[in-house]
Amino acid sequence: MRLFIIILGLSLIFGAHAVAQIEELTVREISQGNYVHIGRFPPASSDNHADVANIGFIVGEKCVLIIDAGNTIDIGERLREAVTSVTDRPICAIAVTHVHPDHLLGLNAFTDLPGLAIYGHHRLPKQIQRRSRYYLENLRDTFELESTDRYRIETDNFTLVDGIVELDLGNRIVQIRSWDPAHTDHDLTVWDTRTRTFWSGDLVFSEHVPILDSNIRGFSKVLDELFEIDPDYYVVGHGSLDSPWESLVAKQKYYLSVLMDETRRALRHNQSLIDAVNEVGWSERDKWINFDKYHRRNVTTSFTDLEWED
Amino acid sequence: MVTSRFMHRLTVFLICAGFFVNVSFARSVSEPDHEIVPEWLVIKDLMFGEKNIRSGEGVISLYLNTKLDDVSTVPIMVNANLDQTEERYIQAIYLVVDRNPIPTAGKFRFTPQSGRVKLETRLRFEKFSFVRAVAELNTGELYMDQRWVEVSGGCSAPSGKNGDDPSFGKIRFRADDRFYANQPNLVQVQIKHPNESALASDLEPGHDARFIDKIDIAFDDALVMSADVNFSISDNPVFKFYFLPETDGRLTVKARDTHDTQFSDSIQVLTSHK
Repeated sequence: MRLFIIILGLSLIFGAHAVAQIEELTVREISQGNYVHIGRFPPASSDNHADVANIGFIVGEKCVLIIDAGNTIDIGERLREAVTSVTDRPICAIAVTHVHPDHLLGLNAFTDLPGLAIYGHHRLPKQIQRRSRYYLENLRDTFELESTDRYRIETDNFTLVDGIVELDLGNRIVQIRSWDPAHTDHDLTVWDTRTRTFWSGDLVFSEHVPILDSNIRGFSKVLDELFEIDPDYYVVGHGSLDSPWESLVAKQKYYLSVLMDETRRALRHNQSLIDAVNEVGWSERDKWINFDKYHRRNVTTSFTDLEWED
Repeated sequence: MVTSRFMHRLTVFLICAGFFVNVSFARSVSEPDHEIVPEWLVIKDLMFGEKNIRSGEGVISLYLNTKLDDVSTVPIMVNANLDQTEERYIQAIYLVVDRNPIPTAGKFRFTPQSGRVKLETRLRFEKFSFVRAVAELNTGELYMDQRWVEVSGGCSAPSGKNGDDPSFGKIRFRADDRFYANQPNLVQVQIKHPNESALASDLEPGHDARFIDKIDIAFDDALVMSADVNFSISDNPVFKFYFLPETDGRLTVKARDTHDTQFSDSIQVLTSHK
């Protein structure tokens, strides 16, 4: 009896802090064979179980491509179960759209799969090298994990993408494409040619303020290209899939143009970054979720790039 | 006066001490008492020994946004409310981030030729921490201002934002259109440099971290500002400060990184009278 109480006590202690004990990951078929889980909004916390990104998969006649692994191994495992619930085809590949933890850290839920190809931008391994220690410490602290050993990511076997790679999932060709620096310096997208479904990763946000982690001028140019893609269906990295594609891209492009113009003006006036973060671009505040949390960071990235402009 | 050799030994020690305290206190998030947080007691003892550190009120103020959304680039500003006279002046500002791997982010030396002490730069942060600015006067007095900062987590990381840049080593000056003689003039120096983190786990195996460790700014032959820094400073380091030209002259910056590469540039300063 005493032992039972101790065990119960321990399970209460550990159970209360368990990471992302998500029972099930709901997925929706947005176009034939394209399944999406719509996440909640970042940042990852114990309240949202780190379920903060849109992730999913494409089912071919031969096999399945996963697009992004989620923030935790638990979420990755739930995504794997979601695949099994809709198809008996095996998972043959995973595309990691960029280094951010909400898209990457669940990767090891899949790495035991035989013959799995992991697609990443050719600059992804370097970013994993530079950032994973910090991301894992954050994960450990946020979710009070004992260890993050099982999260260690081995990049040696990645299939690196420089341009466009075509992958045949069985009567279904998907194109995996690497981009020049934009949201990050290593963004990757997926295009399902059969249904004309575009998986943008974090190159496009819906509702949630876009995040700039690389180069504002590059991001703006990439958005011009994305505007022309004309998908029949799309999946963005965060937020709902309800608005027309062109209006989403245009809204984000406008945000970046305000940010860019006002950053350049601040620089012309020799304003310091410490002041600029509270002034540049704040007219956009009411249009976006989490603006107060992430906008200053976008000003910082914009400012530290444009201050080197000739 | 803390010698640079001592700073180096301190650095090595603090990397170890820093890890220890980081692990033990990683999870405490509410603001503790800044005078008795354990990591500060260690740092303070190593840097200043038994010396009394007074509250900076009226002497030195530290400004920054205390809720961090981009831990790679946190702009901070230190302002002195004290004239730099030959008799009494701030000879050094120490920037300390208690819970960074190297808590001593920099030692910045000033002279009466600095005119007035103001320092702006950008720091990397690892986690919730106190950040401190300690002013050391030529009289030996020490004054400190500090802030508690909260890191919001999310997807920013201390390093890695900017990829390899072809304009590596480039230096840029930024100042108002006119310089005025016999008055403190603000100038900003920017250096294009990745300022890599030296934590082994952040690096490719076999690669020695490359970061800027020394900067000297002179106006003609007089030292204006000189700093010992490390990778607690953000990539593409930026420093903004005052200098006091009596007449026209040349403002020169010299920097050195841990791969022993020297970077240098200068501008001609033409002064006008107000």
